[in-house]
Amino acid sequence: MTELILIMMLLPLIGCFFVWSAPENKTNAYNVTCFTLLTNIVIILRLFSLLGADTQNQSFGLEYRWLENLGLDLYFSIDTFSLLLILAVHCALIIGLVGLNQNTQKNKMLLLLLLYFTSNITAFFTAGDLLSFYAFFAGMLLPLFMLTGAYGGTRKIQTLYRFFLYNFTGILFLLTAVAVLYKIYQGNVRLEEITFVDMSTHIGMLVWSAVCLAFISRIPVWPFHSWIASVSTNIKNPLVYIMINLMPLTGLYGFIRFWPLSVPESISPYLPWIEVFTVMTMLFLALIGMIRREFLYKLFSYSTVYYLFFLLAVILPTDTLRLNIAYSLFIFLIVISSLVVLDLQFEEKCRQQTCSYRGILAYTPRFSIIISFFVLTAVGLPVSSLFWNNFVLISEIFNENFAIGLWVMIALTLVALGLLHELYVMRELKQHNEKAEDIEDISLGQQIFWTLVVVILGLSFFNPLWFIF
Amino acid sequence: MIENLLYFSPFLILFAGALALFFCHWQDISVSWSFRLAKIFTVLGWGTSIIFYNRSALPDIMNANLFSALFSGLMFAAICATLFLSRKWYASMNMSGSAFCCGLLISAIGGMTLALSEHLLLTAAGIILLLAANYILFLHADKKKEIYLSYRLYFSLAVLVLFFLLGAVLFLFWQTNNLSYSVLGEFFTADANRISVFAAAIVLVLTFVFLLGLSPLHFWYTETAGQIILPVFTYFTLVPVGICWAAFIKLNAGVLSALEPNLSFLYQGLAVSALFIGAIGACSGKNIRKIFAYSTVYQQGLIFLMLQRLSPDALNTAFLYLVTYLLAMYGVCTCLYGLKNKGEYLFMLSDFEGASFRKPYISATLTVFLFSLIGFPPFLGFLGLFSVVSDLVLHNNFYQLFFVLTALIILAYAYLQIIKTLYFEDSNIAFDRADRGIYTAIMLIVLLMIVFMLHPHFLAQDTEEILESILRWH
Repeated sequence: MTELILIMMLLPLIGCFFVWSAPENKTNAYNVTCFTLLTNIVIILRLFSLLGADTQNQSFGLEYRWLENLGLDLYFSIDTFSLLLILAVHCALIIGLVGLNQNTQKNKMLLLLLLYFTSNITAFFTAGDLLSFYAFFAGMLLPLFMLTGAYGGTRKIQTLYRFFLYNFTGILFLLTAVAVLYKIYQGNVRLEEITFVDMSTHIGMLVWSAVCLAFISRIPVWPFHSWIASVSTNIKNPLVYIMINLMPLTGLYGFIRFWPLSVPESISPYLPWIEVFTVMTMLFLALIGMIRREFLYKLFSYSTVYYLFFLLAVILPTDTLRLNIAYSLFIFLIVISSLVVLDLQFEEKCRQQTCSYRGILAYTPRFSIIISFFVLTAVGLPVSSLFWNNFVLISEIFNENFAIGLWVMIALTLVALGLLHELYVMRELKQHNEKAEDIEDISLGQQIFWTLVVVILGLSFFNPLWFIF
Repeated sequence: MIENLLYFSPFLILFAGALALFFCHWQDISVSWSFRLAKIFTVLGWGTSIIFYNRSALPDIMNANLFSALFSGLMFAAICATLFLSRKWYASMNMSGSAFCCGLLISAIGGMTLALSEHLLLTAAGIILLLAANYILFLHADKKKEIYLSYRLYFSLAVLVLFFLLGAVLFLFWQTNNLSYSVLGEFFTADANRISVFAAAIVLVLTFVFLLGLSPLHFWYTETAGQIILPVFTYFTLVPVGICWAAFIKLNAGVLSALEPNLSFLYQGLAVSALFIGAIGACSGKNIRKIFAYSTVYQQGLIFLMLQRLSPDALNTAFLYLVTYLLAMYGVCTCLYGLKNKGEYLFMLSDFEGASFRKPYISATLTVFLFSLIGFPPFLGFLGLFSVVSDLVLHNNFYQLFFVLTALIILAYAYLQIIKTLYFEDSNIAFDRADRGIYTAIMLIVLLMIVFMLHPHFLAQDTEEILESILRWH
């Protein structure tokens, strides 16, 4: 078991070396990347089967004595929750890779950074102690920074500075918190023990505020939202978009690991403020998503509102929802990645044919079926486990605070309406679109792939962990 | 007698080497010969200093121990690295480089003297030798107008610093009749509250501030770094740093420990000013070497901040940070040697535009070294930054932590500009084919960084005893 955890973290790094040494023939590097991610998925499934479906609280770990005199032992562990997120990330990245349909997009540097990022984020989800958690939380910034710079669109330099400075400040906050906890605990703290570290009110306030700011810098809560908006809406490469879109997930995961039961007492008086800011941001982004015409912005608004919704669920004073959040996130990541890939692929096709996006579904029946399914899944229709789990999460939010629940419902309805409206626009055909006739529908190979994704989502409706035997 | 001569052999070897190279300078020998000679004498000097690491010819004024061996080793390693890299520069310029090698060996003698010294007069001699070596390297560097002005500024400031240093030495000799560290330590303990004594201590501290190029006496280094030739820049950035810190630690542990409460305010002020001057200065630079010179001021400021308290953990942290910084800076210098256009070594930031397209491996490693310098995980610099931050937190120095991190964000902005230029700017600048040795050196540094990152006990645990010995000794 422990060897498998290590292999799961290191395999993408090994893949990096192969990609690095691959000749400029781009298919080689691409194939290596796909193979590495698929192999890792097999390992993840094997780990799932070793964990077992009924032992959701069970976890396995490995220890590494890093620096004995400073008491810095690193610890890596997995449980169903973290493994589910790792699987979701891998699936999202595979979908992103499928989206790289042009050879120009299969850049060697992109694939290299993708594998480095995968290794980092996998290690992040398996980190069982404070120091390794911090190291991988910060470490994943490097590939994303490089990719933002390379694929950031017209205002990329400005976006790049904003991206780096927001996130760098965030990780310095976390570093401070880590150092204080290290001092109090006289060593490296295991993540499950963080809430039990005895701190005075003053120090507790300092530590938890720093932790909160560090994680919120990744989640687009006002006033920290601007970097992700400017990054996401400028990127036209589906894989890079998906990778950037995973950043808020790391912030959410941080909250779940640091505050598994409830918000620490020292900052609980400020919790209503966080909730109010979160709900305000949700409404604000949902409204902007409604107004903006680009499908990509609507997707950005949808994903951000959902991340904020998950944040509200995470800070609820209960840990019984943890697996519901994980199930929801699993489906959410697959759905959003699929929508991004499909949208960018067809946007590009429309651009090449210089035709309008409007009415395109009338000419591309296979694309029409697939995208309709994903949009309907995204808005919460009962076709995947997103439906059940979001229902549970919303009812818990209502149960805790009716007003917040109401505003959340409004925001979720607004983003759903935005997506449905976009589907309607893509379907609506006021007049014959001659150029759209030439647009190629999705290929047979892609159709099989998307059908497979649809099946995965559909099976999750009956059992979110259906893949465990 | 023979025994003493043997113990003195590192100095004799280095002196013989410097003398030989001085004569070679007039004989116009080839670059390979002058560098070969320099390497042989350096390695011999290093070897003998390791063999006699705990033996001293003059035990009353020179104390050889593991501490001095550790820092001398750091200095010799930096000299070897500088020689290895500089040879390529001199070969491409078709110059012999014997004056440069001679300067390096003189600085090695000065460095060894500082590392072993337990006597203020000997320390002053070591400082004079280091200043002389710097002067030779400045003279040799270039005859550009800007350089000439900077070097004259350096010379006049060096003379002023020496004047004050000798004044302080004379004053202390007049007061104690003995300049050994142990006697001076007792004197400073007894008369800690006298203003004249405190002034003498400040003069001693400021001498090191000048030698290290720390603010407010940093400008001789930062202003010339952009214009001087690459080998001299490499020397100033890598060689004197470790040894000057060693001498500074010894001086503080042996002589100035009684004044620690009073001096710590001065140290904090100097360190914080170095942090901000370094970070802000790096942001305003358009010359890549100048950016690194200012960033060096920041890094030195951080080490200075650590050494405001002479406790075992502060020493360990400072040493750890120093080594991680030196490794990353050596990597940066190596990358700078690898990026040249039509035989010219580049130094303006705009010269590096789009370097990643033509020199992907050098650009990638330069980026890694930059991220390491700002303490980004999983690179080695993270270990240094984490130990600094946890040390400051451990002693409740939250204000200082705030300054360190704020200045770090500013410095990160400067590095971001370099990365932006390398990766996200388009340009048609063609780069010359880099030497295979450059790639080998880069690989070696990266390998070393990986090893230290996976097994940090080599830096943070195994040296602990050695560093703490200097505090126990005094």
